[in-house]
Amino acid sequence: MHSTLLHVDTTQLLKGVLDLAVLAVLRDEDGYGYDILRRLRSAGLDEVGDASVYGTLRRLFQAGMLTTYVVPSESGPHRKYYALNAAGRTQLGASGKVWRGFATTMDQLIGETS
Amino acid sequence: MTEAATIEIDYYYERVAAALADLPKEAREELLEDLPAHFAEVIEEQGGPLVDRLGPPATYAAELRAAAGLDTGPAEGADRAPLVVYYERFVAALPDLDQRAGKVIGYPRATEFLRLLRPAWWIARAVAIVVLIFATDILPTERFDDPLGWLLIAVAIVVSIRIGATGVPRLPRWIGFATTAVAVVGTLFVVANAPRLLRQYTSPDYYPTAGGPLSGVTNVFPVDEQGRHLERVTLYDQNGNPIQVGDYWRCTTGDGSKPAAYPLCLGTPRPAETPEPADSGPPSATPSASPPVSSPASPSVTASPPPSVSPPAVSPSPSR
Repeated sequence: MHSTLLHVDTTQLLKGVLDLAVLAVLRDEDGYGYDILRRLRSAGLDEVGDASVYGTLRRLFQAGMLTTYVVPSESGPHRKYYALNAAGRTQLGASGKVWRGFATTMDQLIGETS
Repeated sequence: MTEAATIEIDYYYERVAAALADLPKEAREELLEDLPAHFAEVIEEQGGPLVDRLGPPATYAAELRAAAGLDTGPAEGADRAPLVVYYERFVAALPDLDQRAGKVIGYPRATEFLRLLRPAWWIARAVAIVVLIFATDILPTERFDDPLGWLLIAVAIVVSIRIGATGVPRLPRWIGFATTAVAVVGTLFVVANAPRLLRQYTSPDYYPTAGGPLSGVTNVFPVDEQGRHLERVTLYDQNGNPIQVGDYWRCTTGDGSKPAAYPLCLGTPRPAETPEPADSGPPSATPSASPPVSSPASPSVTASPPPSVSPPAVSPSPSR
């Protein structure tokens, strides 16, 4: 426990904002599990865990923020696509606001102390 | 996809599924639903063994579980015995069950209704315990025939209600539990025996011959084929149970455990020296047919002459 205090762990930070990140990458385009993972990683979240993204998608779906539909593909398995619904967009807006406020506070804090 | 990749996906998938075995079936299936397709994609894009890409299956499952918000502690659930998990799930479901059962009977909660029945239980447990005491013959009372039995039950009810309502006298917990256990056993005993007990005290069936062809019979006088009176004869039915005909209870001297012996009330023979059967046909005809050979030990043997039949039946054999 003491080690996490010494240096900021990206995976720890991710835990708090993964919901927001997943909602964000689905804002403009629907996506299937692996696709969403790829988008997150290519956006710079290299350390995001495969299972974490997958579990987060299921939870957001259970919470009623996502809808799903299956797209058959000729090559390989069928893909389940996730899409933001109205509740998801509302959540994205609200969580985004919270994050910006938090990030600004942290920026100021770090700017003042360092 | 190569066959090796399929096998690898299957293997990894099974490991993950096993690590999530304690989840409710529905949640588990939903969580696992798309994993094979996902793993196929991982292998296709990144290649290599899945374990290298995704880590150990158990870790993957724990991460999945935590991210999906299905468990508070990922390692915690895997360690516990399935029985414990089932028990905890059962306990967690109780309040909901309470509410649903209550809705059926028109109460907010079933326990609220049961609480109203507590005084009934206080009485029932007292009765149950006393009945059990009677049944096990701890006290020399004969059920409720005895005033002592009624007194005992009254006292037990008063004490039971007092303890239930006021908690005084305060008893150690284990005595309370033990008494409750005995009371439950007693209640089961009463319920199991209720049909018999009720019939015993209320129904005319208690006297086996009531209403039958023997209902007017008060005594039975057995007579052997010679017309001699037999004493201390016990009758049995086809199941080996003693048959009790007549006014059995009037003659017994209190020892009801022995089967009835006829004629009843030996000391006071009510009929005359020659009973009715001696006057009628069958018994008087027998003495001439069977000479002194017939022993009184086997009165059941009829008077028909068995030895005279066999010799003629053997003689025709040479004709063959």
